[in-house]
Amino acid sequence: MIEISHLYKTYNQKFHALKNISLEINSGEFVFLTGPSGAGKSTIFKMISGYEAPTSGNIKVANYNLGKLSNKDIPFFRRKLGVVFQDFKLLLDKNVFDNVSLPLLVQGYPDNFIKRRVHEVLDTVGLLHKKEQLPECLSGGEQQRVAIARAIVHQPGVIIADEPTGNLDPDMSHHIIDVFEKVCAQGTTVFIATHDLEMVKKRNKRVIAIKDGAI
Amino acid sequence: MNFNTQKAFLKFTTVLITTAGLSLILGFFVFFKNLNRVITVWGDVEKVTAYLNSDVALDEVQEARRKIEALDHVKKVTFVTKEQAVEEFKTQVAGFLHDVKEEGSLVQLMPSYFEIEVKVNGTFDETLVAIKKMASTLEEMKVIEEVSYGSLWLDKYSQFIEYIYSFSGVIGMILVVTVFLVISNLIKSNIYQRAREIEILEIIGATKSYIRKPFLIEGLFIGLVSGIISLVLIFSLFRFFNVKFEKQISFFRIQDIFSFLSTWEIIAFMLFTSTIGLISSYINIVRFKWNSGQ
Repeated sequence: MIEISHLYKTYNQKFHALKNISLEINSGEFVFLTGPSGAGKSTIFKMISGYEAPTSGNIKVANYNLGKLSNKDIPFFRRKLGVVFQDFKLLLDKNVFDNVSLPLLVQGYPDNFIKRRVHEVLDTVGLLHKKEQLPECLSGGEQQRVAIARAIVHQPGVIIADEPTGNLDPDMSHHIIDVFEKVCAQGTTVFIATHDLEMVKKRNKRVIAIKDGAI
Repeated sequence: MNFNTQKAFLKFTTVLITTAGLSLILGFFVFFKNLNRVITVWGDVEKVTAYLNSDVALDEVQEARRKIEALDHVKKVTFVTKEQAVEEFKTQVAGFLHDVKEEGSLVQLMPSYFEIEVKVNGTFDETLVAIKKMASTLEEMKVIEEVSYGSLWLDKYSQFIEYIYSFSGVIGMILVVTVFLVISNLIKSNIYQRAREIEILEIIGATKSYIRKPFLIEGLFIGLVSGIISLVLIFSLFRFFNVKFEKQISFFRIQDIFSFLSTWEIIAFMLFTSTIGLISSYINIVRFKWNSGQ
């Protein structure tokens, strides 16, 4: 499902953010990517989501070879992905329901399906009662859950999450990881970047550790 | 100020400044349109005088009159006899020569003539072309000795109007380009303020056309709303000046000349404002630096 081979990323021809990264994650697998801040976790995720191009190397995600992806194909590739960012990236002038429904809206799903599916997902992340609220009225943890709901609402083949529990208390962190596990159990590949080693130990999942841009 | 208020404020400012620019263009157009009509009337190009030969017979006069009445652009033909011409001359010079004698000699000198009123439908230049054509047709008629329509004065007048047209054209173009640049920059800042929204839409797999659509609709809407407000504003100003300077306008007998915009001109203006909004949005959204390689 995710194949990376000999991936390099260099900024300004000086700073080597990623050095010869090769990894393979199978379909339906749950994998943690661990490492200290600045190790290159976010850079890998930017490459996988097609947000940045690698300096060299190959990336294949959900049967799309990102090196050969045309501009026209990028939106359709992204529909196969669910991405959770560290800074949530929510639309501040839209309420919780509208934010979560966005991926379904851009894919042209009918209104009644969108309503049913968004309610289902909001119930899963425990935010159904806050569906009318604007993001600015929510706590950091709640905003993170909205971002997660938006990432899973269209049932993508791959979910990548950059520090999804970074703003949550331990109880909520475990609840969110449970949500990811549930999604994974339905056949979705889940790839989570975190530096919460305690939580990683408890979950007993495959772990890829990165340090100074190398595995 | 929360995000929604910020967005509403930016839209309001954009509409306000766009309205100001469009009002300038519309006001300028209405002003020059009416100036053109006033100077056409002041040019007094509505009359042509055809002087007859001295030995022309009455039946020849009637025949000539019928022919003239059948010509294009002729509104009314009045035949002035030698005697009537003398009377008119005496009235005109009464202030300067109190004792005009030898009326008999004057009658011998004065030619009888046709005074032809011309239908003015188009611009000054169109009227001038029609008059010149009519004059050459009249000159070919046997009974007519000379045709007068103040050709020298009219040519100079025409030149003057050409200068006015060129001047208004240049000023108009400068105004249109300036307004376009102002609107374009406002819409650009609007788009850049919403860069985050665009970025999020890209992340969740929205196509370029899906992202562009609301911006294009918004540009169209800004142009349309600003256009409507400009129309109302300039129409109100037009009415205000008509009422305020009613006496002066009546004095110069130009009250029937002033007009606002015809239905077609209003439609054309609305199309112009919508297009300007749409094009500004299109250019800026196309030139927007997409974050994710799209």
